[in-house]
Formats: sequence, C-alpha cells, structure tokens
Amino acid sequence: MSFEIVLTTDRTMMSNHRRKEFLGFMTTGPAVGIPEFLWMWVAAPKIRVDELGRPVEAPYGLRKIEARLQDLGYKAAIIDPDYIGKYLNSMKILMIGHHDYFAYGPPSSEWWFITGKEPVNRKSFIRFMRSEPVRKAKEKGVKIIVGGPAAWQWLWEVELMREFGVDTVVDGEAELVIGDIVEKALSNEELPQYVFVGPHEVPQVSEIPVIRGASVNGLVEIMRGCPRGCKFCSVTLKPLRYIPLEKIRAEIEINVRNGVKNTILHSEDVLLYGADGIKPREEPLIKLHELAKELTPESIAWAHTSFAAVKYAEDNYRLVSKIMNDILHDKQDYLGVEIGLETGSPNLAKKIMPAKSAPYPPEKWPEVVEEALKILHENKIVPAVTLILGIPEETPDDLIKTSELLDRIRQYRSLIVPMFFVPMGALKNRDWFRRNAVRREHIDVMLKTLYHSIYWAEDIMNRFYMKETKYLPARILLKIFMSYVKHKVDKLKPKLEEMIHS
Amino acid sequence: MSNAPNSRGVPSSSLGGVVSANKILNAVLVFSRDDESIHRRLTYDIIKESLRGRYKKVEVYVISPLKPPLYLRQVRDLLLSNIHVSIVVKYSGCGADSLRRLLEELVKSGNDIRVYSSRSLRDEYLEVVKQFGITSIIVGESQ
Repeated sequence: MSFEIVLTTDRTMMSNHRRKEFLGFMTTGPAVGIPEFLWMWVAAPKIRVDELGRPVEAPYGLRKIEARLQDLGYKAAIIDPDYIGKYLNSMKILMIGHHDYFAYGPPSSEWWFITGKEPVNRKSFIRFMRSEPVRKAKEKGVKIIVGGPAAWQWLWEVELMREFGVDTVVDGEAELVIGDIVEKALSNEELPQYVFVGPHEVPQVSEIPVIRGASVNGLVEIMRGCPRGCKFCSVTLKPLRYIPLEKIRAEIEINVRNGVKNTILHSEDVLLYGADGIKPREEPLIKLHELAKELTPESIAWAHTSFAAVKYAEDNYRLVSKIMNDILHDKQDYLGVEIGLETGSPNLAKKIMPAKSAPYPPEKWPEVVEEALKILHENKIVPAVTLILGIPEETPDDLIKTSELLDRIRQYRSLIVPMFFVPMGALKNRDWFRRNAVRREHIDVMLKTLYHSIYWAEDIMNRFYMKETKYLPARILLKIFMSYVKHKVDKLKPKLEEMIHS
Repeated sequence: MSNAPNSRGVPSSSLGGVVSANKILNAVLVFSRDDESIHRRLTYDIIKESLRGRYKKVEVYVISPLKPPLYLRQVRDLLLSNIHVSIVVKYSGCGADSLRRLLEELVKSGNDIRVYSSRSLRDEYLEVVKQFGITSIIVGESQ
C-alpha cells in the first residue's frame, strides 16, 4: 500500500508518553541531570506501529486532518517519523503538525529561559527536519505543509523554513481549507505561503470529521472554542461548538478498538460541555461522563477545566462529587486535569481575563481559586495548575497577590507551573517576556511554585500517578531528577533570596 | 460556487472555499524596504472593514526584493495582529513588471483590490498602479 499524502511529526509528539501525558511535558524542557537519550526514553518512547509504519496512536490534530483527507478521497495516512522513508516514491505531500515546533510556547520557552539550554522538543524537531528521509523527500519535489497550534512559530524562523523547504504554513482549524491546498499541491499549482484560518472558515460541528485511528492516550474532543474571552488565549477567538455525544461515542470506540483503554475528554473547559453560557449544566455533564465510563475500559481524564466552573458545578449541583463518587468511583481513584490560575491578583484578572471567574466577579477570583482547589482536593482530582508571569499589564503588587495566594493553597494537592507570557490571542502582537524583565517578585513566585510542586509530586506519584510496578524505573528516574532540581535550587537559594530582599 | 469535483471525484462543496467571493479583499503590499507603516495601515483597514462585515478574507500579495519565505518577516506583524479575518499570503515577485502581471490577474478575479506601498516607492510602480485605476494607499515616511 502506498500513500500520496504522509502526515507525521517528530518523536516528542509521536509518542504516548508511557500513557502519562504529564510525562510528555518533560519534552518541553532540556535534559537536566540525566543524558538526553534517557530523558527522551522516559518522556517520549517510540510508539507501536503496524506493518506500514502507521502508529497505533497518533496526535489528535493529525488524526482529524487524516480523516478529512480520507473523506476527500486522498490516499493519506499518518506515518511514524522513523518510517516515512518507505514512502519516498509515492509521497507527493508531507504534512507536519506540532504543538510547539521551536519551543516558543509555554512552558518550553520558560525552561529554555531559565536553563539557557534548548528544550528537547525543539532539538528533536529540527533533527527530524534535517533527517535523510525529509531531505530526500524535498529533493524529489514533495511539498511540505506544516500546521497545528504552533504554526505561528514559523513566522519567527523563516531561515529554517527556507532551509527545510516548507511550502505552506496553515494556522488555524484546517478542515475546510486543506482540500483546496492539497488540490493545488497535487496539480503543481503555486501554493500560498501562509494561510491563517479566520472565524468565518472554521468548520461547523457537522463538518468536523470523526477520527479513523486512535489518538494519543485516547484524547477525544468534546467541544471547540471557549466563551470566557481571556485576552492571552487564542482558543477563545474561535466560535463555541459542542461535539454531539454520538460523535464522542464513535471516537472513544475507535480508540478502544485500537487498544487505547483510557479517555481524555478534551475541551478548554470540560465542565462547560453543554453549558448555559459559562454556567455548567448537570444533564449534559452527567450524560457525557456516563458515556465515557460505559465505553472506556480504564480511566478517564479531563484535558482542562476552570476554577469557576468547578466551584459553580459543585455549589449548585454537587456535580464534581457526583462525577467522581457516583459515576467514576469504581473506575479510578483519581482524575487528572490542567487548570489555568494565571494570576492571584483580582486587579490583573479584571484586566486580562474578566470572565475567567464568571459567574463570580473578578474581585472574588482568589477566593474562587481557593474554594475550587479545596473541592478538587476533597474529590481526588489532581490539577496541574498554570500561572502566567510577565503579562504586559502586570505590576509588583499583582505578583505579591499571587505569592500570597500560593501560601494559602499550599495545603491542596496540585502541581503548579509558572509560565512566562507568550504573545497569543488578543495579546499576540505584544512583546515577549524577557530575561531582563524578571523582578524579585517573579523569583519569589517561582520558588514557591517549585517547592509546592516538589512537595506534592512525590505524594501524587506514590499514591496515584505511577504507583504500578511497571513504572518503577521511570519513577526512580523522576525522583532522581526532582532531588537534583531541589538540590540545585537549594544551592542557589541564598543568592536568590539575596536578590529577593535587595 | 460550482460543484465541480476534486481530482478524486469528491464534489467541491466538500472541499471548503467557504468564503463567498464578494467578501474577499485582494491586498497588494509593495515593499522596497521594511516598512511597519504598511502593515499597520492594512491591519487598521482589516479591522475596520471586518467589523462592518465587508470582508471575511484577505488575500495578501507581496511584491518584495526579499525572496520566499524570507519576505514573511515583512508581514509577520500583520499576521500576528489579525484575529478577525482569514488571511492568505502569497509571494508575487519583485519589480514593476511583476506588479503589472499580478494586477492583470487580480483584475480578472473581480475582487476589490487595494495596493499598499510606502512613500519611498519608485515612480515606475506608482505608474503601473495608476494604469489599472486601482485604489493605491501610500503610507509612511519618504526616504
């Protein structure tokens, strides 16, 4: 069997990260304390492939485009990066997707900034693009089309774009525009260099295809867009669409049929599935979780939610408790999710994310965070919480408020990751956060998050996350890594404290 | 929109092309050197016109001495400033002859056409634009 369109990405993306997606975050940093090959072995091991080199699991975004191209009648398939050389004679188009091609997104840019070393995702991607099969494909006249959430990063790497021979960058939801680009490429017509898909060209729910193969770790999209309108976020610019249960069912079934026994419900805010504006509703969420439970052999996770939705859902319907204790209780003993805290300052929250706390007022944002974290802790939901440092409007007082909030939430099980501001969303024309802009208040916040996360990481690993024996080697390596980081920071601490108090 | 099939026999209604032709602006950017005022003016126009509902897509044609894809640097700020409309960027060569050939093609499309250039542009370019009777928007400082 041959393919005229090959979709792929580098190893940091084409991996199931040992079925622990948080391990995937290690690929956003440089190898620290252990050699890079070991770092990659822990965070991004090779994935199982079939006899054609098609991975059993692949990134969800690539799966969507693969499905769309197949619907349009093209011979298209996702191929593992180690196997694309098999298709040099049939391939006409090479499509590549990535979350963070050049490590400019959060948190890669932050690890790069702190350590001064290139993160492994960037190194791995550049290595892949310079590999023999990609170079040979280009020599044979294969068109290279790149896309995904990090498409914009190519605008900052035009020299590499030239070196790699990238023909077109597609930025945005590509379902409705990709057919036209492929037709042009196959008939050797001139291709556009950059395509930004605006709000009028995104697909309606009925136009979003169902994936044909399994997605990494069983990720299934339940909605697109977000109604909160935070200024730093690009997702919020897209129209809000809820994926119907029958499509969600079809995708979970495909994952399970292909041996992926977990489901990650993907949305910018899972608790807003079927919501009344920004107010979670009981019925759609119960139905969603009952469906996911019925079809998923092992555990379920949420990609993202929000503190405001957690508090509202629990206060009004006891919904978080119902999902965890009535629906999922016999399936799993915890649930993982990523949540944006961004700032502990009500003033800054009002400026950059006035609806993030809704239906509660932005003035109550710190209280909403605290109460929601308590609800999550009590219901064994383990959040990876993100903070943004260096937002353009941020003041020292805002950072002090964040620091004070970190003290109050120390008691709640969570990992807290500070991220430096990356210009995206309505702030995408603003300046990047730079090393010389770091204040002592930033260092204070970073130290607090580090100690918080190290404290809880061990608890999470022992009690929930990687407690099975098969994870012992990876767990040992992670513990060594955490001890190494703590040791390094302890050594640096007097200097940092001197800076903080100067 | 015609329903002609693609090369695999699938009707074009399944292919996209969702923006109707009368909502497309063809914007020609003529750079003689890096000039921020061009992208600022186009961004302003895009926001203004998209809020009025006049355009949903902008096709940007770049005439620049910087070869592909390096000329993308000259439109990076434009792409990073826009969230309102679809933008497709194409390189159309450099020199007044390239501009003439491009305008001949664009006139056939029937879409609105605007040419954005800096004051420092040589007269030969301005002459070409004038010949087509197209709205020319000259921005920024002269050299």
